[in-house]
Amino acid sequence: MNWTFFMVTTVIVATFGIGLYGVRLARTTSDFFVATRAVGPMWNASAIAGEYLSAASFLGIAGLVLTQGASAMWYPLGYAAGYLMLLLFVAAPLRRFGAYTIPDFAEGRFGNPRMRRLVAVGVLVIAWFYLLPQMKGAGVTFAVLTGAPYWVGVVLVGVLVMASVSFGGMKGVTYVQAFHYWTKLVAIAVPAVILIGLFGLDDDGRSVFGDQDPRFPGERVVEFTETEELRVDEPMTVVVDGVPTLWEGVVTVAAGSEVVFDKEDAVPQPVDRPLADGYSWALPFSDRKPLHLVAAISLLLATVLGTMGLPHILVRFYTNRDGASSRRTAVGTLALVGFFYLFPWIYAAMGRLWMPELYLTGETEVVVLSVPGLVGGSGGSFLTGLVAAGAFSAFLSTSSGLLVSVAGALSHDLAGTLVRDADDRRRLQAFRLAAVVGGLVAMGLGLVVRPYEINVLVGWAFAIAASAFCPLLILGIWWPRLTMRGAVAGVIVGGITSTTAILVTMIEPQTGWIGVFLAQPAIVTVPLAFAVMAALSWGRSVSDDVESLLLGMHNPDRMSRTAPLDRSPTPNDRSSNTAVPRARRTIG
Amino acid sequence: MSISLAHLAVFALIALGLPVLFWAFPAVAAFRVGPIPLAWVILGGGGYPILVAIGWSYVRSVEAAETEYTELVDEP
Repeated sequence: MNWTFFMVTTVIVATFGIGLYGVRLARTTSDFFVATRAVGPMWNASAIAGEYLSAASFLGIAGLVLTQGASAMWYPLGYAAGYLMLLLFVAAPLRRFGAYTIPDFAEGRFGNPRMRRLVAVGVLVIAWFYLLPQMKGAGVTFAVLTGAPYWVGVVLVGVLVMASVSFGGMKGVTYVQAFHYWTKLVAIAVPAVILIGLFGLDDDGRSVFGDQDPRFPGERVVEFTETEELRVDEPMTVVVDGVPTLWEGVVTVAAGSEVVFDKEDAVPQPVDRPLADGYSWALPFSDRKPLHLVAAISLLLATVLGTMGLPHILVRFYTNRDGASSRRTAVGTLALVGFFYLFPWIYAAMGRLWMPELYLTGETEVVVLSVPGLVGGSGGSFLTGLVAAGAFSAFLSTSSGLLVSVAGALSHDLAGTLVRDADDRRRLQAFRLAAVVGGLVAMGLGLVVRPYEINVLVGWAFAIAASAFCPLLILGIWWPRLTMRGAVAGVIVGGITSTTAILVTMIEPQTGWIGVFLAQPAIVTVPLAFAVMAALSWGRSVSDDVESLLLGMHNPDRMSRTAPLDRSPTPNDRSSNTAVPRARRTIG
Repeated sequence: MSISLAHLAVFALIALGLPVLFWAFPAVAAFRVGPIPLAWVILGGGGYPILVAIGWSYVRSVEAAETEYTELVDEP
């Protein structure tokens, strides 16, 4: 506990310290919103990776792998591969376009402010959806570490994030986010390597990848906080509250009882959330049902195509110097994020083999925080402190990036000319007010999403981003014929169908094929959005304006810099007000 | 553009091919490299360097193409 307290506090203090130092450097409003562009690709890649690795990466992946096994391993692969798509189709052209948020791009590409407002609504939906699992992660982490009620962690992280966003802005955030990446990497990698070295992946020849069901690796005392129904396949004698009891068939454990299991006892199955058996945990698609294949492909589509549509990620690419460094940043991010993903599954394997009692208490999502305790003694509490610090780093970094996007969309894109024509001071005030409002909404919603898996919630945010924004970005950048009519219809159709499918799943999960398409809608909604955009734009002629707009995006940096119509931007040009007009001036 | 598409094709082949491969031929996923099934070797580690390699190869070919293009245009 002492180590945990010390390290979590250090992360929070360092966050604010670096942030405040950055604020001192931030002199103009444009600095506050976008940071300066004088950041190198390596710093930028660290910052993007730092902002990207959220509660889902830090806690969620390991938690989901612990319960589902190999079939949850598609998540991290998709999260990382999203940067490859961003690199191939979006990073350089978007940077050259001069737009730094999706609403900026939408308005600049179609020359219509209404487009900005429509897209800003999409940004809000995605960013809030993505904030929910961060809030949930904060709530459960704080509860596990201190025993406090769930809401305490939600409120604590919510308030910290609101404060840092209101006072910090983007300039400070670049360095803060880069710091967060390295914090998270150390926090996940060091304990993972130590654990795998000390305990290994098999227990007396019983491999975690074998086809046996989990068994207790030694005597384990499990406290049940809630009444639980358990199915016991092998009759066994356990000690319930000091009384030896024979368990067989289905038994009910009362809330508050303490049960002692012996070494080699098979782990009983909680009736309401059955365990994956050894074979289906260790191998993907072990039941060979086609619907699981479709679900996996749909999930990959959502994560791979959704990354480019995440508002808090795209904005970071604007801090690159030009298109080429934007590309290098994308590769760097891919490498950093991929390196991080080598580690989370180790916690799941450790938990399944050495701490199967997590299945009984339902605390599978915090397996990353629990297994370092296996080391025992002060070493164990040091490692627990380390992962706890990493977890808080994840909540703070991703939430603040998302809240900047929410506040920007509210105060800048949706509030309209009222705020945009105001002076710098008023715009800052509006941004801060929007940050507080956005944060309060996220906290409120965060309190009600406790029943959902962190990783599943994040996967849904990706599905919405992939359905609403990926077609807009890809067709908008590469296809001159895309019309505003097509773009509007595609964004609306993609966004509404995916959001509806997910809300239905959240409220009333369906089974069978319908259930797969509603829970993993991307395989239907992404092609649908592309089709709608293409169909409504087909046969339109290309205006010269749009033609040269696209040419400007795809021409090499050096050429666009020497083009006579482009003047080198003054610092004031970096504010979002002028970003779009500048892009249009470039085309003359 | 064609460089993007070529790299997309390689990636799509791997990304979509992998689940189909594991699904159609469970023996491939279960094939053991030492004690660890191949599915875990790829999804837990081996896949990421491949992604980075595709990305890096893309950056190099695009930068080469852009340099060539710029020189071509700049020549009087």
